[in-house]
Amino acid sequence: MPKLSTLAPFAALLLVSTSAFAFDVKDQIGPDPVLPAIHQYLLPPMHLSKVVGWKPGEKPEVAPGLKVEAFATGLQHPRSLYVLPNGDVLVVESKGPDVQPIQRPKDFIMSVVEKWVAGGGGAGESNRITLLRDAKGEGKPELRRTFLTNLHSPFGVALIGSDLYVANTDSLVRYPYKEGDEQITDSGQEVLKLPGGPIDHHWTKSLVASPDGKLLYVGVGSNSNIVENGIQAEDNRAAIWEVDPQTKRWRLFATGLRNPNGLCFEPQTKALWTVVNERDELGPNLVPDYMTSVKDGGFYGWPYSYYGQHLDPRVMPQRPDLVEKAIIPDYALSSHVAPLGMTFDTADSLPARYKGGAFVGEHGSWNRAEFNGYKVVFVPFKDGKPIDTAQDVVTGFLDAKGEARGRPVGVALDKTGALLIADDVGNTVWRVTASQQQSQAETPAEGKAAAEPAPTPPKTP
Amino acid sequence: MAAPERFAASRYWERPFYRPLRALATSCVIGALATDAAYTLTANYIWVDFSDWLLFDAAALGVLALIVGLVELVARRRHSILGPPAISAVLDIVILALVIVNNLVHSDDGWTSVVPFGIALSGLTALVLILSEWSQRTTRAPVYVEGVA
Repeated sequence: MPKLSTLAPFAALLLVSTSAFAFDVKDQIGPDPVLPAIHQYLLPPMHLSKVVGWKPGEKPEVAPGLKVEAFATGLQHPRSLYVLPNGDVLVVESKGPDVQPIQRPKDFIMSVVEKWVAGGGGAGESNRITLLRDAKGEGKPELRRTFLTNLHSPFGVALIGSDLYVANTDSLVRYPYKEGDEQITDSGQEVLKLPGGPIDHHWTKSLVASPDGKLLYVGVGSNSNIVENGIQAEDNRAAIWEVDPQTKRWRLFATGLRNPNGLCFEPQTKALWTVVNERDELGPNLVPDYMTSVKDGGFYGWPYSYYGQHLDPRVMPQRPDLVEKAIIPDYALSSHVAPLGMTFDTADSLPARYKGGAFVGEHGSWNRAEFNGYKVVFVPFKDGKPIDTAQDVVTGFLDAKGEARGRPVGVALDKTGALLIADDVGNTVWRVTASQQQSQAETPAEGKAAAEPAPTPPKTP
Repeated sequence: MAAPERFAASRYWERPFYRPLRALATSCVIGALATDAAYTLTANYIWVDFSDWLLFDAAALGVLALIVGLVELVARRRHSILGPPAISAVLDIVILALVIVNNLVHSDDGWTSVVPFGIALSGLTALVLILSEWSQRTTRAPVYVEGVA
């Protein structure tokens, strides 16, 4: 039976790729990750966590010295957060554009599976921004108002002076804002079109303003896992755009970044940093997602290679000229953790060990048998570079059965220096503070007059 | 020898719905081999989409043909004293198995969903298909006798 013997290698492939290797995920956290051999699947593992939500009284677990409380609940798929200068918190509630056409049978099957398990996020109206005002800084917003509506799968927000920029999945829009506004009724002015449909695979457009307030940086994710929608669909994608919002001139600042999110500036070096979701279906431990400083004109590999010059055999034709100059990212976060948010601890209210490092929101894996991510981690920084291994900060998004009570996405520091976490399927914004600071809670955090009882190191420039 | 004129007329074991369903499924198999070849030559991804759908259709029609064939086998067993030519039945099942595995191989993303294993399986499936056709032409047709139970 020659037919059966030809099947044997495929059967072996299936067994090899689904068997759990004794692989320590920690080996892929840090500047020099272990990269195992490629395993392509006969049947790619789809292991999504069923969404069950938070029962009353349940909350995530935090590292020692911290405490966590719900800042706002009952939201509609909150994905990212932005803190305005007066301390008001903008919660971007957003759902994917749901426009990806069924291009091949796999799309159909995967969309059915995803709808079945991933769901969550509430059934109500999303694609809006909600404003939360907690003037006393106690973690209990006294004002909650729908700030901005009629948005199209928004994600990034940035304020420059009195211009509030919102990155929809297909456009960058400017709105007039003045301090204290509780609502924007202006219909906004489109600055730029961004790559959206008809295919819109990685739809989140991360946004940050340069420290001098002159330029905007927009994260534009790829339109596929690994160019399976054709290279034409990837025009100007898998890149960070640099936009001059005044002249509307833009250029590709860096490329080869499969799905860059969490754009922010490292406080000490003022370098642009991002977290990136790397490619799927090469094995449970390939390819590690990462965080990296972004070099002007840099190429980071996607789709042709990963972690420098490791070729991806799925891409044809190859581009050796590009692969040759592919930059190795700064710091690996391990595979399939799906980092979607990042912020640096620039304040003084969390324990000193967090000062200057980065918090990363890891939405969690689907493409490996054992879950990875589903937590917020902290990466310590020294002299503008990540050092040491990442530490868990907020966990417990999965329950004992592996079902998702929530999944972290965007992270931000509020005006008091507390860490805010957008939990999209848990429909909650969590607020993490230092646990020994209960006495400080009475301190009016409203600003100028606030007398800090605890001695705090002076702010570094 | 009973009814020699019937012997000539019933060249195949009669399963009226199995045959056309099988013909549809197998034409998709040949189509997928052609689109796989086109992709291998051009690296234009649109051909993979065509292959994926053709293989998907081949599997769906193949499974349907299998079910219909089994129903017909049971429903019409009174009319025959011999089943289908054993070798061609086995080969048809091998073809269906290959098509299903090939669907999985093609569900990978990119070049390696076709080259080398995807197109190799498409070629192998086409080869088994030819063998299956050939086996039906050379197997002695079953005796078809009405009313024998």
